[in-house]
Amino acid sequence: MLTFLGFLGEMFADANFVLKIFILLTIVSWARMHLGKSALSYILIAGFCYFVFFSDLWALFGGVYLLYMLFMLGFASIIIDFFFVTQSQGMPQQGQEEQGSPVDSGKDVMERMHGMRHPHPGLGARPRPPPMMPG
Amino acid sequence: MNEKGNIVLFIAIAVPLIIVLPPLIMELIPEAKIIFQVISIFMLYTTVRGYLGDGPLTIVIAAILIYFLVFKWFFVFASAYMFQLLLSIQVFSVVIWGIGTRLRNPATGQ
Repeated sequence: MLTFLGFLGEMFADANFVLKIFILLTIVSWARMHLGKSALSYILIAGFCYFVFFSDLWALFGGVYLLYMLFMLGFASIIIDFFFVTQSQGMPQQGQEEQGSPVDSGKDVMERMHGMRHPHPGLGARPRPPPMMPG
Repeated sequence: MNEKGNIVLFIAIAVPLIIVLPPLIMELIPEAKIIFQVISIFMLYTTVRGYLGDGPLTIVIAAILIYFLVFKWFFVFASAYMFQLLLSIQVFSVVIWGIGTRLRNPATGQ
């Protein structure tokens, strides 16, 4: 058990180190892209590296970078697909229509738009004034 | 368990199976491991060179990454690389769509 925990700890430490190297690459690339190989670029790199690696906020920066990479690779589309598929697979409740995708037909869209225009039934059906009769 | 539970179960089984595939192949066929290691070394060097350009720093950082990712934790890296590759070509969307069509009720079509 202790060996396994040691294995996991070593893997986590190495993964942290590799992640730090990738973030360093990103910082260097970004600074050089904007400022070239000037002295200001190296000062900026040093400042960013201090804040990202040596301050207490490494957990935040590392997590944010991981999330950024996942979303750049299209992780959000998986979540969207998953919820579209699972929504159409849900069991319909009693007395409720079975739902498909959030927008599944033109009729559905029209009903929603009508509901948005008249949220309260009493307010939506105001009597119109009578049309003017020609004298 | 209803259909929503089933689809979560299917995905929880299907995704790890896809990710575990490269280490399994490398364990069964040693040549595949060597080929994939060579490909990974080239890929890591190219990635670092893309960030930093040519220079000694590129070689140092590429060497550190190659040691950790290709020699020390290669099986983990292979799984992560497969996950990244599949994610980048939108394979998981196809998997989820396929599972959704499999679970669709033929009577109602939904």
